[in-house]
Parts: sequence; C-alpha cells; structure tokens
Amino acid sequence: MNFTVLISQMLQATLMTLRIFFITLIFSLPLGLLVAAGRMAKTRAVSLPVRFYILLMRGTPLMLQLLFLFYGMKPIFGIQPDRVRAAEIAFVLNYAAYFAEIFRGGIEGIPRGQREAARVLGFSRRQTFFRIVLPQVVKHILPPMSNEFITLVKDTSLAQVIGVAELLKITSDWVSSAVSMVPFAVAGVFYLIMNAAVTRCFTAAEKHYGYYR
Amino acid sequence: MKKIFSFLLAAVLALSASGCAGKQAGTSPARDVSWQKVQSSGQLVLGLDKAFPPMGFVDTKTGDLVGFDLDMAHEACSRLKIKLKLQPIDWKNQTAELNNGNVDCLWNGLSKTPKRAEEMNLSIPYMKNNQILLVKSDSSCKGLSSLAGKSVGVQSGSSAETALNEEENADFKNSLREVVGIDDYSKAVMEIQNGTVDAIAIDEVVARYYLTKNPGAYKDLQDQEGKDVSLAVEDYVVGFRKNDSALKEKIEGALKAMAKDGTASKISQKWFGKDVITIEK
Repeated sequence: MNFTVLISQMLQATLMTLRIFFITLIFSLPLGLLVAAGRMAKTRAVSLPVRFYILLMRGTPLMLQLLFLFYGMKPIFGIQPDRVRAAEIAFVLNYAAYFAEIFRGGIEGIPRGQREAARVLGFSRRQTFFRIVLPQVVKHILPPMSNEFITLVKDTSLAQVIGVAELLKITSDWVSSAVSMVPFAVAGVFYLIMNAAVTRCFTAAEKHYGYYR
Repeated sequence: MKKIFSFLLAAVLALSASGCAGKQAGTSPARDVSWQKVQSSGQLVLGLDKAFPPMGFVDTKTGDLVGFDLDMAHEACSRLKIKLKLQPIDWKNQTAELNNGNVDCLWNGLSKTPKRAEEMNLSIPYMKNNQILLVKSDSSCKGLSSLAGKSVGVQSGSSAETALNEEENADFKNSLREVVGIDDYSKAVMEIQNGTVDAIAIDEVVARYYLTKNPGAYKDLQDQEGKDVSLAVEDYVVGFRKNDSALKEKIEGALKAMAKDGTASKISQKWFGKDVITIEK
C-alpha cells in the first residue's frame, strides 16, 4: 500500500468533507434562526407549516433526505441537481431544523422577568432582544451547539450514498483493494483531529462567555 | 387538525400533478440522439462501484482507478474518439444513476439478469461469470446442501443477490438461516474471516482477486467432486438507458473490433492470465 498516495487522496477527500461542513453551517445557522422565529410566531398560518418542516427534517433519516434530493428530483420534478449541491441542500435543510429547536430552547429559556425589567428600564423590543436576550442565549446554547457541530463533521460521511467523494468512502475503497483495515484507523485519526479543533473552539467560546465564573 | 389535513392533501395533489406532467413529456417519441449527445460532449460517463476488484478498483500503489472493465472501456472510447469519464457510484443506486442521466453506462462486472434486461438496454456479452460461494478455509462444508441453516452474505444490489432469489435456488435459499446484504465485497470477505457469516455468494472474478490477496483465509465452496459450486452462470454486459440504442451499438461496434484484432484478448491476459472474452466476432 502506497501510504503517500493514500494520505494525499484522503486529504483531498477531507477538503470535500470540510466543504460540506462549512457550507452547511453558513446557510443552516441563519436559516435555523428564521425557522425558530417562525416556530415561535403567534399566527398559526406561520407556525404550523414551520412545525411540519421541523418534524419532517428531524423525523426522517438524513440518508433518506439525501437519496430523495439526488435521485427523486428528476423523476418527480424533472430537475437533476449536481451531487455535491444536492448534499449541501439536504444538509442545510436538515441541520436548520435542529438548530431552530436549539435556538428556540435558548430564547424561551430566558426568564420573562428579564424582558419585563428591560421594558421598565425603557429598552425597545429590538434593544431587549439584541442587548439582553441574545448574549445570554448564545452562552446557554453553546453545549448543545457543540454537539450539532461535531455530529455534522461525522454526518458528512453519509453523502457517500449519493456518490460524493468524501473521506470515509475514499478510505473504504482503499480498504477494499488493500484488504487491510489500516486506512480506517487513519480516517479515524482524521475525524478526531477535525473534531478536536471544533471542541477547542467551543471550549474557548465557553470561556469567553463565562464572565460570571 | 382539519387545516393540517387539507395542507397535506394539497401538497400531495400538487406533487402528483407535477409528476404526471413530467411523465407525459418523457413518453413523446424522439429520435435516438444518444450517440450524438455523447459524441458532442466528447466523453462517455461510466458508472462503477470502485470497490469491485479486478473489474474496477483503486490501485493501492498509484491511487488510480484501474481494472479489466476500465481498460476495455478506455480502449473502446479511444477507438470512438471520445474521452472516458469515470463516475464512482453507490452500486445500490445503479438504475437511478443511469436513468437520471448522471452516467451514460454501467460497465463494472454488470451481470445480465432478466430484471436488468427489462430496466436497461444491455449490450452483447463480453465475458462469462460464475456466482460462487466463499467459505472459511477451515470449513468442512461441501456442496450447497451443507449450508443449510447457515447465514450467507451477498452484496446489496448485486446479481448474486438476484440469483439467490431465483426460482431454481428457492430451496437453497429457504434452507438458509439468513441472507445478509452487505455494502461491498471487502466487508463481505471480512465477515467470513470474523465468522459473522458462514459463506458469501460472490462473483468468481472478485473471489479470485481476494483469494490471491489473502491466500489461506478462505476458499471456494466445492461439491463432493471437488468442483466449484455455482449459483448461477452469467454473462457480463454493459448497461445503457432503455432508449440509448445508438450509443449501445457504437460501443458494441468498438468491442467487436477489439475482439477481432486481439486487443480484447490481450487485456484479458493482463488481468486474468487467460483469454476469457466471449464477444461474438
């Protein structure tokens, strides 16, 4: 087994993994905020479809969503998205739902008394949200968010079911040819390094927000 | 509750309406422009499972995609003056990938089966294949009947899986404790070594690859006379979309030329040490 070639191919595949990771975060975080707002809306015409969307995304396997978005679009709607694009869309839609619920939990967790106090002190609704509520929300949702980020790094391997050349599939093909498990161990190290970096970032963020400790 | 129901109903109706529209557009009769399309794009997109040695797999020295089928395809494409583009796919989704246009052909130890003949446009055969069974090297099993009550693994979406489900193998299949669908053959041979399945049904060519790579780890199941047990004898063909006859005929033309002038035989010698080509000349 030529390890140099193996590592270089795995590094290339890691770029795809990272691409899915960052694109998903860039789009699903704002979308999640929007969905959370919709979920908390008072009008049922808004909150009901949003609740259905969240149920659909969290209630069906991500693998199924990937397969549907890549193989199901042509026969039903006549459009065929590109492999990586289909993967990105599936991941963004899926993770936005999970983030929405985390955001909602954080926002609803701020005691009503804070909002009342802010009103008494003369804060506008907008000032209250951005100056009082949001900073506390960020602090509180850091642990569940770290879960989602780490899960996302690992979930990228699901994209292989629609033929995306991500890290685990490349590793798997080498294992097939070499009849050896060693590439899997190397892939494990790759994933560990990525998730160690994510964990590091969150630890630093929690420290930054731990001003009362 | 009523609101949710009517919303769902509207969504389902809208989906099925657009589905109908799509189908109608597809069934209007059209000239067969499959070869022209490939020729003008300058490339043939070949769909393969790249964990299928020796037909299409990763060379662990160079990291390149190599294999008997790939060599044949490269040669055919250069004769037709087009490039070959390799598109690794998940073998389970082979039909969807082909029919959606993501790949132009399936050329990866594709066995001819009645179901595939219905769903795709299959070429003339180029090689014969045997579905054999691999067992652990210290196994005392001899013949199909000795596998009664045992577990057999197959690759999901493979013709070995189809062969097991055929009428003539019904008694055999019913005698088994379970049939396990496995992702790819490297995992399947690992399952034999670990003992999580007792045998795997596998293409003979792939079995030979693993037998040479890992001598002594497993062996082919033989019957009382020492002959390899065979679940099915099949032809390897190239698969195209149902309407792409023009493209298929061009590729077949190249294959026939390769058989005539001995190029196919040379490629066969390189990979199998003998001439296994069955292309009618």
